[in-house]
Amino acid sequence: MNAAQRIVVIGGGAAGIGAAGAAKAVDASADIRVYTEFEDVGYSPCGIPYVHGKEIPDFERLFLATKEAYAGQGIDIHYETRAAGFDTGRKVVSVEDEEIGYDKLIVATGFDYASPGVPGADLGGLYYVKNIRRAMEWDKVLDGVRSAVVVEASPLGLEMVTALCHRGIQTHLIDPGAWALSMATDPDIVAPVQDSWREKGAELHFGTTLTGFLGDGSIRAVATSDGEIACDLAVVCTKKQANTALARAAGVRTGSADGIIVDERMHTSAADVWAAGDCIEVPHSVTNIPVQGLSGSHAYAQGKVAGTNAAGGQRTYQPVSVPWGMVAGDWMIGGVSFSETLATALGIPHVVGVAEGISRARYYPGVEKVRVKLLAEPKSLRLIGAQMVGREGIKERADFLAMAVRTGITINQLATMENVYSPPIGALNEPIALAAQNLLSGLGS
Amino acid sequence: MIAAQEKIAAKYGVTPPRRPRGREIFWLRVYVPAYRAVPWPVRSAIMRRLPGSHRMTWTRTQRP
Repeated sequence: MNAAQRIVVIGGGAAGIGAAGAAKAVDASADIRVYTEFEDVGYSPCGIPYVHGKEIPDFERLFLATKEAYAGQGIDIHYETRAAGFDTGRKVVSVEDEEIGYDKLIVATGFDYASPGVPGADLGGLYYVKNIRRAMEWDKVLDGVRSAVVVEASPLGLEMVTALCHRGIQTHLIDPGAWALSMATDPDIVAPVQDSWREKGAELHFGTTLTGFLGDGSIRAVATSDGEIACDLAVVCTKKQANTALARAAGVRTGSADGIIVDERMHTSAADVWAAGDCIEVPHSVTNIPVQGLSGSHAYAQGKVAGTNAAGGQRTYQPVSVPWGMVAGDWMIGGVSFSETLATALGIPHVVGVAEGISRARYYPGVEKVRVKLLAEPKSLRLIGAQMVGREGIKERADFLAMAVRTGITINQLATMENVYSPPIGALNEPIALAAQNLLSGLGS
Repeated sequence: MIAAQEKIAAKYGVTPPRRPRGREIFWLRVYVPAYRAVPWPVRSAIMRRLPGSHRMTWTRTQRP
Protein backbone atom coordinates (compact mmCIF):
# COMPACT_ATOMS: atom_id res chain seq x y z
CA MET A 1 0.00 0.00 0.00
CA ASN A 2 1.40 3.43 -0.97
CA ALA A 3 1.96 6.03 1.70
CA ALA A 4 -0.30 9.08 1.57
CA GLN A 5 1.20 11.90 -0.47
CA ARG A 6 2.25 14.97 1.49
CA ILE A 7 1.22 18.34 0.16
CA VAL A 8 2.79 21.33 1.89
CA VAL A 9 1.25 24.79 1.52
CA ILE A 10 3.24 27.89 2.43
CA GLY A 11 0.81 30.65 3.35
CA GLY A 12 -2.61 30.68 4.98
CA GLY A 13 -4.38 33.43 3.06
CA ALA A 14 -7.16 32.99 0.51
CA ALA A 15 -4.89 31.16 -1.96
CA GLY A 16 -3.28 28.90 0.62
CA ILE A 17 -6.53 27.87 2.29
CA GLY A 18 -8.26 27.49 -1.08
CA ALA A 19 -5.43 25.23 -2.20
CA ALA A 20 -5.46 23.12 0.95
CA GLY A 21 -9.24 22.60 0.79
CA ALA A 22 -9.20 21.75 -2.92
CA ALA A 23 -6.32 19.30 -2.47
CA LYS A 24 -8.18 17.55 0.34
CA ALA A 25 -11.29 17.32 -1.83
CA VAL A 26 -9.30 15.58 -4.58
CA ASP A 27 -7.26 13.29 -2.35
CA ALA A 28 -8.89 12.75 1.03
CA SER A 29 -5.98 10.57 2.14
CA ALA A 30 -3.35 13.25 1.46
CA ASP A 31 -1.26 14.59 4.34
CA ILE A 32 -1.90 18.31 3.92
CA ARG A 33 0.15 20.77 5.96
CA VAL A 34 -0.22 24.54 5.89
CA TYR A 35 2.49 26.78 7.34
CA THR A 36 1.61 30.36 8.19
CA GLU A 37 3.60 32.98 10.09
CA PHE A 38 0.37 34.47 11.44
CA GLU A 39 -1.99 33.55 14.27
CA ASP A 40 -4.98 32.89 12.02
CA VAL A 41 -5.99 31.66 8.58
CA GLY A 42 -9.14 31.77 6.55
CA TYR A 43 -10.45 35.24 7.27
CA SER A 44 -11.32 38.14 5.02
CA PRO A 45 -8.69 40.88 5.26
CA CYS A 46 -10.75 42.80 2.69
CA GLY A 47 -13.39 43.29 5.41
CA ILE A 48 -11.00 45.07 7.80
CA PRO A 49 -11.68 48.64 6.53
CA TYR A 50 -15.41 48.09 7.07
CA VAL A 51 -14.91 47.10 10.71
CA HIS A 52 -12.79 50.22 11.16
CA GLY A 53 -15.62 52.21 9.55
CA LYS A 54 -18.17 50.57 11.89
CA GLU A 55 -20.23 49.14 9.03
CA ILE A 56 -19.33 45.68 10.39
CA PRO A 57 -19.68 45.45 14.17
CA ASP A 58 -16.75 43.16 14.98
CA PHE A 59 -13.74 41.37 13.52
CA GLU A 60 -15.00 37.90 14.45
CA ARG A 61 -17.45 38.04 11.55
CA LEU A 62 -14.53 38.13 9.11
CA PHE A 63 -13.46 34.58 9.94
CA LEU A 64 -14.69 31.96 7.51
CA ALA A 65 -14.16 28.95 9.77
CA THR A 66 -12.76 28.03 13.16
CA LYS A 67 -9.39 26.40 13.70
CA GLU A 68 -11.24 23.28 14.82
CA ALA A 69 -13.12 23.18 11.53
CA TYR A 70 -9.88 23.04 9.53
CA ALA A 71 -8.52 20.36 11.83
CA GLY A 72 -11.77 18.45 11.39
CA GLN A 73 -11.29 18.54 7.61
CA GLY A 74 -7.90 16.93 8.05
CA ILE A 75 -5.90 20.05 7.20
CA ASP A 76 -2.92 20.34 9.52
CA ILE A 77 -2.30 24.07 9.98
CA HIS A 78 0.87 25.22 11.72
CA TYR A 79 0.21 28.72 13.05
CA GLU A 80 2.91 31.28 13.78
CA THR A 81 5.37 29.04 11.96
CA ARG A 82 7.44 30.78 9.34
CA ALA A 83 8.78 28.80 6.41
CA ALA A 84 12.37 29.92 5.92
CA GLY A 85 12.90 28.38 2.51
CA PHE A 86 12.52 25.33 0.34
CA ASP A 87 14.74 23.10 -1.75
CA THR A 88 13.15 21.80 -4.93
CA GLY A 89 15.94 19.27 -5.47
CA ARG A 90 15.63 17.53 -2.12
CA LYS A 91 11.90 18.40 -1.91
CA VAL A 92 12.03 19.83 1.60
CA VAL A 93 10.70 22.98 3.26
CA SER A 94 12.78 24.53 6.04
CA VAL A 95 10.55 25.35 8.97
CA GLU A 96 12.17 26.71 12.11
CA ASP A 97 14.76 24.06 13.11
CA GLU A 98 13.58 21.21 10.96
CA GLU A 99 13.08 20.20 7.38
CA ILE A 100 9.70 18.94 6.22
CA GLY A 101 9.67 16.69 3.19
CA TYR A 102 7.00 17.15 0.55
CA ASP A 103 5.66 15.36 -2.48
CA LYS A 104 3.95 18.48 -3.78
CA LEU A 105 4.49 22.08 -2.71
CA ILE A 106 2.12 25.02 -3.09
CA VAL A 107 3.58 28.51 -2.66
CA ALA A 108 0.99 31.05 -1.54
CA THR A 109 3.19 33.64 0.10
CA GLY A 110 0.99 36.62 -0.79
CA PHE A 111 2.15 40.20 -0.97
CA ASP A 112 3.98 42.93 0.90
CA TYR A 113 3.22 46.61 0.63
CA ALA A 114 5.80 48.52 -1.40
CA SER A 115 8.14 50.37 0.90
CA PRO A 116 7.30 54.08 1.06
CA GLY A 117 11.05 54.61 0.59
CA VAL A 118 11.18 57.74 2.73
CA PRO A 119 12.76 58.65 6.10
CA GLY A 120 10.74 57.88 9.22
CA ALA A 121 9.24 54.63 7.97
CA ASP A 122 10.20 52.99 11.28
CA LEU A 123 8.15 55.39 13.43
CA GLY A 124 5.24 54.25 15.51
CA GLY A 125 1.82 55.21 14.24
CA LEU A 126 2.28 53.81 10.73
CA TYR A 127 -0.49 51.35 9.96
CA TYR A 128 -0.23 48.73 7.21
CA VAL A 129 -3.65 47.07 6.88
CA LYS A 130 -3.07 43.34 6.48
CA ASN A 131 -3.16 41.11 9.57
CA ILE A 132 -6.42 40.83 11.47
CA ARG A 133 -4.82 40.66 14.95
CA ARG A 134 -2.94 43.86 14.29
CA ALA A 135 -6.13 45.38 12.88
CA MET A 136 -7.92 44.57 16.15
CA GLU A 137 -5.19 46.44 18.04
CA TRP A 138 -5.26 49.37 15.61
CA ASP A 139 -9.03 49.59 15.88
CA LYS A 140 -8.63 50.48 19.57
CA VAL A 141 -5.99 53.05 18.64
CA LEU A 142 -8.41 54.64 16.18
CA ASP A 143 -10.69 55.57 19.10
CA GLY A 144 -8.06 58.12 20.16
CA VAL A 145 -7.00 59.34 16.71
CA ARG A 146 -8.10 62.85 15.74
CA SER A 147 -6.25 63.25 12.45
CA ALA A 148 -4.98 60.64 10.00
CA VAL A 149 -3.19 60.67 6.67
CA VAL A 150 -3.87 57.96 4.10
CA VAL A 151 -0.83 57.50 1.88
CA GLU A 152 -1.81 56.71 -1.72
CA ALA A 153 -5.24 56.47 -3.31
CA SER A 154 -5.00 52.74 -4.05
CA PRO A 155 -8.12 50.55 -3.72
CA LEU A 156 -7.32 50.04 -0.03
CA GLY A 157 -6.61 53.76 0.30
CA LEU A 158 -10.10 54.57 -1.02
CA GLU A 159 -11.67 52.16 1.45
CA MET A 160 -9.66 53.54 4.35
CA VAL A 161 -10.48 57.18 3.55
CA THR A 162 -14.15 56.22 3.57
CA ALA A 163 -13.76 54.22 6.80
CA LEU A 164 -11.88 56.96 8.66
CA CYS A 165 -14.45 59.55 7.57
CA HIS A 166 -17.20 57.28 8.89
CA ARG A 167 -15.23 57.06 12.11
CA GLY A 168 -15.29 60.85 12.46
CA ILE A 169 -11.53 61.19 12.06
CA GLN A 170 -10.12 64.22 10.25
CA THR A 171 -8.73 62.47 7.18
CA HIS A 172 -6.17 63.57 4.62
CA LEU A 173 -5.40 61.65 1.44
CA ILE A 174 -2.11 62.21 -0.34
CA ASP A 175 -1.33 60.78 -3.77
CA PRO A 176 1.05 61.76 -6.56
CA GLY A 177 -1.67 61.13 -9.16
CA ALA A 178 -4.09 63.74 -10.42
CA TRP A 179 -7.16 61.98 -9.00
CA ALA A 180 -8.00 58.99 -6.83
CA LEU A 181 -7.12 55.56 -8.18
CA SER A 182 -5.63 57.22 -11.22
CA MET A 183 -3.91 53.99 -12.32
CA ALA A 184 -7.24 52.20 -12.69
CA THR A 185 -9.96 54.76 -13.26
CA ASP A 186 -10.83 58.04 -14.93
CA PRO A 187 -11.54 61.48 -13.45
CA ASP A 188 -15.19 61.61 -14.55
CA ILE A 189 -15.85 58.28 -12.83
CA VAL A 190 -14.17 59.08 -9.53
CA ALA A 191 -15.29 62.73 -9.29
CA PRO A 192 -18.52 61.96 -7.34
CA VAL A 193 -16.49 59.89 -4.87
CA GLN A 194 -14.06 62.73 -4.27
CA ASP A 195 -16.92 65.20 -3.84
CA SER A 196 -18.57 62.94 -1.25
CA TRP A 197 -15.32 62.64 0.68
CA ARG A 198 -14.99 66.42 0.77
CA GLU A 199 -18.57 66.66 2.04
CA LYS A 200 -17.51 64.37 4.89
CA GLY A 201 -14.63 66.68 5.74
CA ALA A 202 -11.75 64.83 4.09
CA GLU A 203 -8.92 66.87 2.61
CA LEU A 204 -7.57 65.52 -0.67
CA HIS A 205 -4.01 66.31 -1.72
CA PHE A 206 -3.49 65.10 -5.29
CA GLY A 207 -0.27 65.73 -7.16
CA THR A 208 1.38 65.41 -3.78
CA THR A 209 4.38 63.19 -3.11
CA LEU A 210 5.27 61.69 0.24
CA THR A 211 8.74 62.80 1.35
CA GLY A 212 8.89 61.50 4.94
CA PHE A 213 7.24 60.62 8.21
CA LEU A 214 8.07 63.03 11.02
CA GLY A 215 8.07 62.43 14.75
CA ASP A 216 10.07 61.32 17.75
CA GLY A 217 9.31 57.66 18.30
CA SER A 218 5.77 58.08 17.06
CA ILE A 219 4.44 59.99 14.08
CA ARG A 220 3.39 63.63 14.50
CA ALA A 221 3.22 64.67 10.83
CA VAL A 222 3.62 63.51 7.27
CA ALA A 223 6.07 65.46 5.12
CA THR A 224 5.02 65.97 1.51
CA SER A 225 6.11 67.85 -1.58
CA ASP A 226 3.52 70.48 -0.61
CA GLY A 227 4.37 70.81 3.08
CA GLU A 228 3.68 69.04 6.35
CA ILE A 229 0.36 67.55 7.44
CA ALA A 230 0.01 67.05 11.20
CA CYS A 231 -1.48 63.68 12.15
CA ASP A 232 -1.68 61.01 14.84
CA LEU A 233 -1.69 58.15 12.38
CA ALA A 234 -0.62 57.34 8.82
CA VAL A 235 -2.25 54.49 6.93
CA VAL A 236 0.20 53.28 4.31
CA CYS A 237 -1.69 51.96 1.26
CA THR A 238 1.12 51.57 -1.25
CA LYS A 239 1.14 49.06 -4.11
CA LYS A 240 0.86 45.35 -3.36
CA GLN A 241 4.12 43.67 -4.39
CA ALA A 242 4.38 39.94 -4.90
CA ASN A 243 6.19 38.25 -2.02
CA THR A 244 8.47 36.02 -4.03
CA ALA A 245 11.52 35.93 -1.75
CA LEU A 246 11.30 32.22 -0.92
CA ALA A 247 10.51 31.25 -4.50
CA ARG A 248 13.39 33.29 -5.94
CA ALA A 249 15.80 31.89 -3.36
CA ALA A 250 14.74 28.39 -4.41
CA GLY A 251 15.34 29.17 -8.08
CA VAL A 252 11.68 29.34 -9.10
CA ARG A 253 11.33 31.69 -12.07
CA THR A 254 9.60 35.05 -11.82
CA GLY A 255 8.32 37.19 -14.70
CA SER A 256 8.11 40.71 -16.01
CA ALA A 257 5.33 41.64 -13.56
CA ASP A 258 7.59 40.43 -10.70
CA GLY A 259 5.29 37.53 -9.84
CA ILE A 260 6.04 33.82 -9.87
CA ILE A 261 5.61 32.43 -13.39
CA VAL A 262 2.82 29.85 -13.61
CA ASP A 263 0.90 28.08 -16.35
CA GLU A 264 -2.87 27.64 -16.52
CA ARG A 265 -2.62 24.80 -13.99
CA MET A 266 -0.75 27.12 -11.57
CA HIS A 267 2.39 25.02 -11.99
CA THR A 268 5.68 26.88 -11.63
CA SER A 269 9.01 26.38 -13.36
CA ALA A 270 10.03 23.86 -10.66
CA ALA A 271 8.92 20.24 -10.64
CA ASP A 272 6.06 19.50 -8.23
CA VAL A 273 5.82 23.15 -7.16
CA TRP A 274 2.59 25.11 -7.68
CA ALA A 275 1.84 28.71 -6.74
CA ALA A 276 -1.25 30.89 -6.36
CA GLY A 277 -2.50 34.25 -5.16
CA ASP A 278 -0.78 37.60 -4.86
CA CYS A 279 2.70 36.07 -5.26
CA ILE A 280 2.07 35.02 -8.89
CA GLU A 281 1.42 36.78 -12.18
CA VAL A 282 -1.20 35.75 -14.73
CA PRO A 283 -1.86 36.94 -18.28
CA HIS A 284 -4.46 39.59 -19.02
CA SER A 285 -7.19 38.32 -21.35
CA VAL A 286 -7.00 41.33 -23.68
CA THR A 287 -3.30 42.14 -23.93
CA ASN A 288 -1.79 38.77 -22.95
CA ILE A 289 0.62 40.79 -20.80
CA PRO A 290 1.06 39.47 -17.25
CA VAL A 291 -0.56 41.27 -14.31
CA GLN A 292 -0.10 40.81 -10.58
CA GLY A 293 -1.79 41.92 -7.36
CA LEU A 294 -5.45 41.10 -7.99
CA SER A 295 -8.37 40.48 -5.64
CA GLY A 296 -9.10 37.93 -2.92
CA SER A 297 -11.51 36.13 -5.24
CA HIS A 298 -8.75 35.73 -7.81
CA ALA A 299 -6.42 34.38 -5.12
CA TYR A 300 -8.98 31.90 -3.81
CA ALA A 301 -9.84 30.62 -7.30
CA GLN A 302 -6.15 30.27 -8.18
CA GLY A 303 -5.58 28.41 -4.91
CA LYS A 304 -8.31 25.94 -5.77
CA VAL A 305 -6.72 25.32 -9.18
CA ALA A 306 -3.28 24.84 -7.63
CA GLY A 307 -4.60 22.52 -4.90
CA THR A 308 -6.65 20.42 -7.28
CA ASN A 309 -3.73 19.87 -9.66
CA ALA A 310 -1.16 19.33 -6.92
CA ALA A 311 -3.34 16.57 -5.48
CA GLY A 312 -3.64 14.83 -8.83
CA GLY A 313 -6.79 16.38 -10.27
CA GLN A 314 -7.32 18.47 -13.40
CA ARG A 315 -8.33 22.11 -13.30
CA THR A 316 -7.28 25.15 -15.30
CA TYR A 317 -7.38 28.89 -14.73
CA GLN A 318 -8.27 31.47 -17.35
CA PRO A 319 -6.45 34.69 -18.30
CA VAL A 320 -8.01 37.52 -16.31
CA SER A 321 -10.21 40.46 -17.31
CA VAL A 322 -10.02 41.92 -13.79
CA PRO A 323 -13.52 43.04 -12.87
CA TRP A 324 -13.36 45.31 -9.85
CA GLY A 325 -15.69 47.37 -7.74
CA MET A 326 -15.93 49.02 -4.37
CA VAL A 327 -17.86 51.40 -2.20
CA ALA A 328 -15.97 54.67 -1.90
CA GLY A 329 -17.46 57.69 -0.20
CA ASP A 330 -21.20 57.56 -0.89
CA TRP A 331 -20.74 55.83 -4.24
CA MET A 332 -20.02 52.50 -5.86
CA ILE A 333 -17.38 52.53 -8.55
CA GLY A 334 -16.16 49.66 -10.65
CA GLY A 335 -14.94 48.51 -13.98
CA VAL A 336 -13.25 45.88 -16.07
CA SER A 337 -9.80 45.74 -17.64
CA PHE A 338 -8.85 49.15 -18.95
CA SER A 339 -9.82 52.67 -18.02
CA GLU A 340 -9.41 55.38 -20.60
CA THR A 341 -6.36 56.60 -18.67
CA LEU A 342 -4.66 53.22 -18.55
CA ALA A 343 -5.42 52.43 -22.20
CA THR A 344 -3.97 55.83 -23.11
CA ALA A 345 -0.88 55.24 -20.99
CA LEU A 346 -0.25 51.86 -22.60
CA GLY A 347 -0.99 53.28 -26.05
CA ILE A 348 -3.75 50.75 -26.73
CA PRO A 349 -5.96 52.02 -29.59
CA HIS A 350 -9.53 52.46 -28.37
CA VAL A 351 -12.84 54.22 -28.92
CA VAL A 352 -15.08 55.34 -26.07
CA GLY A 353 -18.83 55.49 -25.45
CA VAL A 354 -20.38 57.05 -22.34
CA ALA A 355 -23.95 57.15 -21.07
CA GLU A 356 -25.70 58.25 -17.93
CA GLY A 357 -28.65 55.96 -17.26
CA ILE A 358 -30.67 55.06 -14.21
CA SER A 359 -30.70 52.09 -11.87
CA ARG A 360 -34.47 51.56 -11.56
CA ALA A 361 -37.60 52.80 -13.29
CA ARG A 362 -37.49 56.60 -13.36
CA TYR A 363 -40.56 56.83 -11.08
CA TYR A 364 -39.47 54.19 -8.56
CA PRO A 365 -38.24 55.43 -5.14
CA GLY A 366 -34.50 55.17 -4.73
CA VAL A 367 -33.72 55.49 -8.43
CA GLU A 368 -30.11 56.61 -8.95
CA LYS A 369 -27.96 57.67 -11.86
CA VAL A 370 -25.52 55.12 -13.29
CA ARG A 371 -22.67 56.37 -15.45
CA VAL A 372 -21.20 53.77 -17.78
CA LYS A 373 -18.16 54.16 -19.99
CA LEU A 374 -17.21 51.47 -22.49
CA LEU A 375 -13.89 51.11 -24.32
CA ALA A 376 -13.63 49.11 -27.52
CA GLU A 377 -11.02 48.11 -30.05
CA PRO A 378 -11.51 50.53 -32.99
CA LYS A 379 -11.72 48.04 -35.88
CA SER A 380 -13.50 45.01 -34.43
CA LEU A 381 -15.40 47.02 -31.78
CA ARG A 382 -14.68 44.25 -29.29
CA LEU A 383 -15.13 45.43 -25.72
CA ILE A 384 -11.76 45.91 -23.99
CA GLY A 385 -12.72 47.89 -20.89
CA ALA A 386 -15.40 49.58 -18.85
CA GLN A 387 -15.78 52.08 -16.03
CA MET A 388 -18.87 52.78 -13.92
CA VAL A 389 -20.08 54.89 -11.04
CA GLY A 390 -23.47 54.78 -9.33
CA ARG A 391 -25.10 53.85 -6.07
CA GLU A 392 -26.30 50.33 -6.93
CA GLY A 393 -25.84 47.60 -9.51
CA ILE A 394 -22.18 48.33 -10.22
CA LYS A 395 -20.76 44.97 -9.14
CA GLU A 396 -23.25 42.98 -11.24
CA ARG A 397 -22.52 45.06 -14.31
CA ALA A 398 -18.76 44.69 -13.78
CA ASP A 399 -19.11 40.90 -13.55
CA PHE A 400 -21.22 40.82 -16.72
CA LEU A 401 -18.84 43.06 -18.62
CA ALA A 402 -15.86 40.96 -17.53
CA MET A 403 -17.47 37.96 -19.22
CA ALA A 404 -18.17 40.16 -22.22
CA VAL A 405 -14.47 41.09 -22.42
CA ARG A 406 -13.38 37.49 -21.97
CA THR A 407 -15.66 36.19 -24.70
CA GLY A 408 -14.94 38.96 -27.19
CA ILE A 409 -18.41 40.52 -27.24
CA THR A 410 -18.66 43.61 -29.43
CA ILE A 411 -20.22 47.02 -28.95
CA ASN A 412 -22.77 46.14 -31.64
CA GLN A 413 -23.92 43.21 -29.52
CA LEU A 414 -24.07 45.31 -26.35
CA ALA A 415 -26.03 48.04 -28.14
CA THR A 416 -28.77 45.54 -28.88
CA MET A 417 -28.59 43.54 -25.67
CA GLU A 418 -31.74 42.44 -23.91
CA ASN A 419 -32.15 43.61 -20.34
CA VAL A 420 -34.29 43.00 -17.30
CA TYR A 421 -37.00 45.62 -16.89
CA SER A 422 -38.65 45.66 -13.49
CA PRO A 423 -39.32 49.01 -11.81
CA PRO A 424 -37.64 48.29 -8.44
CA ILE A 425 -34.47 46.75 -9.92
CA GLY A 426 -34.03 47.76 -13.54
CA ALA A 427 -34.87 50.61 -15.90
CA LEU A 428 -36.41 50.40 -19.33
CA ASN A 429 -33.07 51.26 -20.90
CA GLU A 430 -29.98 49.49 -19.62
CA PRO A 431 -27.11 52.00 -19.14
CA ILE A 432 -24.63 49.56 -20.72
CA ALA A 433 -26.73 49.41 -23.88
CA LEU A 434 -27.03 53.21 -23.90
CA ALA A 435 -23.25 53.61 -23.66
CA ALA A 436 -22.78 51.16 -26.53
CA GLN A 437 -25.37 52.96 -28.62
CA ASN A 438 -23.67 56.29 -27.91
CA LEU A 439 -20.32 54.81 -28.95
CA LEU A 440 -21.80 53.68 -32.26
CA SER A 441 -23.48 57.06 -32.75
CA GLY A 442 -20.13 58.72 -32.23
CA LEU A 443 -18.66 56.57 -34.96
CA GLY A 444 -21.51 57.45 -37.29
CA SER A 445 -22.84 53.88 -37.32
CA MET B 1 0.92 57.56 -16.52
CA ILE B 2 1.56 61.27 -16.02
CA ALA B 3 1.41 61.87 -19.77
CA ALA B 4 -1.83 59.88 -20.00
CA GLN B 5 -3.30 61.75 -17.03
CA GLU B 6 -2.44 65.07 -18.71
CA LYS B 7 -4.33 64.01 -21.82
CA ILE B 8 -7.38 62.65 -19.98
CA ALA B 9 -7.48 65.61 -17.57
CA ALA B 10 -7.60 67.98 -20.55
CA LYS B 11 -10.42 65.96 -22.12
CA TYR B 12 -12.58 66.09 -18.98
CA GLY B 13 -11.55 69.58 -17.86
CA VAL B 14 -10.13 68.55 -14.51
CA THR B 15 -6.94 69.50 -12.70
CA PRO B 16 -3.96 67.99 -14.53
CA PRO B 17 -1.22 66.07 -12.73
CA ARG B 18 1.51 68.10 -11.08
CA ARG B 19 4.34 69.36 -13.25
CA PRO B 20 7.09 66.79 -13.80
CA ARG B 21 10.21 67.06 -11.70
CA GLY B 22 13.77 65.75 -12.03
CA ARG B 23 14.02 62.52 -13.96
CA GLU B 24 10.29 62.62 -14.76
CA ILE B 25 11.05 65.37 -17.27
CA PHE B 26 13.23 62.97 -19.28
CA TRP B 27 10.56 60.27 -19.25
CA LEU B 28 7.83 62.71 -20.27
CA ARG B 29 9.72 64.63 -22.91
CA VAL B 30 11.85 61.86 -24.44
CA TYR B 31 10.53 58.40 -23.55
CA VAL B 32 6.78 59.04 -23.93
CA PRO B 33 6.96 60.51 -27.46
CA ALA B 34 9.26 57.67 -28.51
CA TYR B 35 6.94 55.09 -26.92
CA ARG B 36 3.90 56.60 -28.64
CA ALA B 37 5.66 56.59 -31.99
CA VAL B 38 5.82 52.80 -31.96
CA PRO B 39 2.55 51.20 -33.14
CA TRP B 40 0.65 49.15 -30.54
CA PRO B 41 1.08 45.82 -32.36
CA VAL B 42 4.85 46.28 -32.24
CA ARG B 43 4.87 47.41 -28.60
CA SER B 44 2.55 44.56 -27.69
CA ALA B 45 4.75 42.03 -29.46
CA ILE B 46 7.82 43.30 -27.58
CA MET B 47 6.03 43.10 -24.25
CA ARG B 48 4.86 39.59 -25.00
CA ARG B 49 8.43 38.50 -25.62
CA LEU B 50 9.41 39.39 -22.07
CA PRO B 51 9.57 36.48 -19.62
CA GLY B 52 6.37 35.79 -17.73
CA SER B 53 3.34 33.60 -17.12
CA HIS B 54 1.90 34.61 -20.50
CA ARG B 55 4.58 32.54 -22.22
CA MET B 56 3.46 29.38 -20.46
CA THR B 57 0.51 27.22 -21.55
CA TRP B 58 -2.77 29.18 -21.42
CA THR B 59 -6.02 29.05 -23.33
CA ARG B 60 -6.15 31.52 -26.19
CA THR B 61 -7.11 35.08 -25.30
CA GLN B 62 -8.43 37.95 -27.38
CA ARG B 63 -5.95 40.65 -28.32
CA PRO B 64 -6.56 44.18 -29.60
